[in-house]
Amino acid sequence: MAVISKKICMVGDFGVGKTSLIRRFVERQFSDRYLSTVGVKISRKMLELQDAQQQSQEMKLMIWDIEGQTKFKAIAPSYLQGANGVLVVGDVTRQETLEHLEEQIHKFTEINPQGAVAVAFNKADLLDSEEMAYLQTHFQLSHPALVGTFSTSAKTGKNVDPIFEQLAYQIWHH
Amino acid sequence: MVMQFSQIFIPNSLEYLVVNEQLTVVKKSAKIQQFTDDQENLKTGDNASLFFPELVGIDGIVQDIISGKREQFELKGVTRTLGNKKTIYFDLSFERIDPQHLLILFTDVTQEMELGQSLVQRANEVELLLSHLSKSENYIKQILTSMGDALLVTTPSGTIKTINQTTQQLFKYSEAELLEQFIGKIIQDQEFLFSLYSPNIDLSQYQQGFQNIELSCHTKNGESLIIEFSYSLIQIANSRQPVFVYLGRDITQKKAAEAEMNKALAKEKELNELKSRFISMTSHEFRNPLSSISMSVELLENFANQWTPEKRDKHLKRIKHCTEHMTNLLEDVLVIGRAEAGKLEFNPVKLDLSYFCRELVEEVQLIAGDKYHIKLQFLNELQPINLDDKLLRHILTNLLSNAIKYSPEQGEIDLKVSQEGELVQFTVQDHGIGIPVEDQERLFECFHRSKNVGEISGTGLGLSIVKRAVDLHQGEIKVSSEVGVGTCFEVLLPINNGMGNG
Repeated sequence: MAVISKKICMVGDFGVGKTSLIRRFVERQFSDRYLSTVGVKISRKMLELQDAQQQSQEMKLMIWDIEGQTKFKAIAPSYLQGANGVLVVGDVTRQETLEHLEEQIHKFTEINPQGAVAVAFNKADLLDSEEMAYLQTHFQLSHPALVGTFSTSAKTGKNVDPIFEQLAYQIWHH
Repeated sequence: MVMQFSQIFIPNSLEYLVVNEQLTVVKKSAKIQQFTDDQENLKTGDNASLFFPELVGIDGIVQDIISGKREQFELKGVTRTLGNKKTIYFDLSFERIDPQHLLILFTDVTQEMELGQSLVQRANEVELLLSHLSKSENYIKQILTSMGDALLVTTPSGTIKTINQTTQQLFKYSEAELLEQFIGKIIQDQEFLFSLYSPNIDLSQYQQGFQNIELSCHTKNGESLIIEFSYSLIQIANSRQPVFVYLGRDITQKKAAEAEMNKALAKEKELNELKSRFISMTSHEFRNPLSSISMSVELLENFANQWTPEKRDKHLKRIKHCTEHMTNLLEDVLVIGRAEAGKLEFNPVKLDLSYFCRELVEEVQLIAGDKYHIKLQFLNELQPINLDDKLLRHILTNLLSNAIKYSPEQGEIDLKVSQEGELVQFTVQDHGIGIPVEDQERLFECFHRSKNVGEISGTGLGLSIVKRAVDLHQGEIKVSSEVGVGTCFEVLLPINNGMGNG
């Protein structure tokens, strides 16, 4: 069975936890220390996917950790080119980062109309379930390419594997 | 003319790869190894995307450049962590060489990127901190704005430093009108202000705070409020002086409701007492005449045949007198009942007052008999006037009856009538037992009787009826009395009340 390599991008405002999500997913580690990413860093992760018909597929995910968007610097479109999917990340404790999610999805799908999209409401461990439920209702996103919206926590690992796996599965079956 | 890649001169200082459409390495610079992922040994003929993960997924772009559809492509700031944990940054630049080949140039930008990283790190940290601070400030502001209680913060000397929206709404001052002002601008309670804001006061006693202190306050437009305050002294920062934090709730309406309730309770208590007095009075006032009637009827039944006509007549007269007494009593009760229910009406009619008074005095004199003498005097000439004759009858009959009742036999009662301007004045003067001072205040209350009435029977309703009849005329009644000397009632009634100017 041949391994397929797929590129996915991590997109979102600065400090929302993109690097931490990758670190948790790839290295199974977490650090509270904030280290801002500049440029882009690519991490690899092998996944073994299986569908309902018991077909399986090995996938090498190339995860592009892209420098976060700030007021002064937008996401460079060159990083997004050729990507099969995107994980758009917001920080549930900073409402403005959630307000940017839709625009960031739009930016990605404009470059990659066939790409799959997953959304992470990250740092979910910092809010209680009632606040999380409110946020998810308040920031309901709808896009044809949207695989799902997950409340994630790189700190506790909540929904980290599922969100990457769902995205990979969608890319495989696209 | 298309140039062949073998013809291109690339300086030794640049690291590069020459690849074909499938990203197969055709040529490479000597030190290109330093940029490969995991520093694996890259050879000519290898697929470049296995050594450079950045190339995964860009097949389309590569084809576009080779085919000339696209001029070039750049990837800036690619990060690579080397085996020794050292991080390098490099830019990749993709350019077409010929219809089969592509040149990928690698430029080490580690120094610039590291500098950039440190700047971005600092800027982002500051931004995160500001965002956090602004969120906290906004959160507190929102709470303060939306809270229903008034919030005030003052210096230890009482200068207002902070207020919230509710404070402005409650006291009807704008923020600018209250800030930097003494708190006495809204709190009226001088004793409280003095206790808290006197010089040399020991502030430490206020640290534990005080709960639910009711203070009278006033709004900008002078409206009085009762505010229930909780306050305490708070040290916000070591370098700054402590502040008083007040939380106040408007309890003006609650207090008014409480007062209303107390009033209603007092009224209910009074009504209960009234009821008791009524029961006691009626049982007493009705029992005596009923006993007399019963006794006379029984005697007449058994002995009428043996008695002289005079004796029979005496008992029949007694029955008649008792019946009249009870009828009058019931009449009084009914009048008071109507007055209490607000059904006693004021219907003024044109009245010849001198004729009316003479008739009335004659009637009363007839009942009083020759043991008392009522002297009627008109002090000036009377014009026809507008009064309610029924109510006036209640007033004069009751005053004259009382004067007779509480006067000794052979007593003389004066009724003086005069008219001055728009008023008519009636004065009823007796020389009877008088009314003690302490009873004079409650004279017009239902069923109230003076302590010195002794065995003289009465309902305690007469003067209540008089008062209500005077009130319906919008008139005035005054009393002056001395125990053992006599009593004088003065009634002043407006003569054209309710009839308009015509």
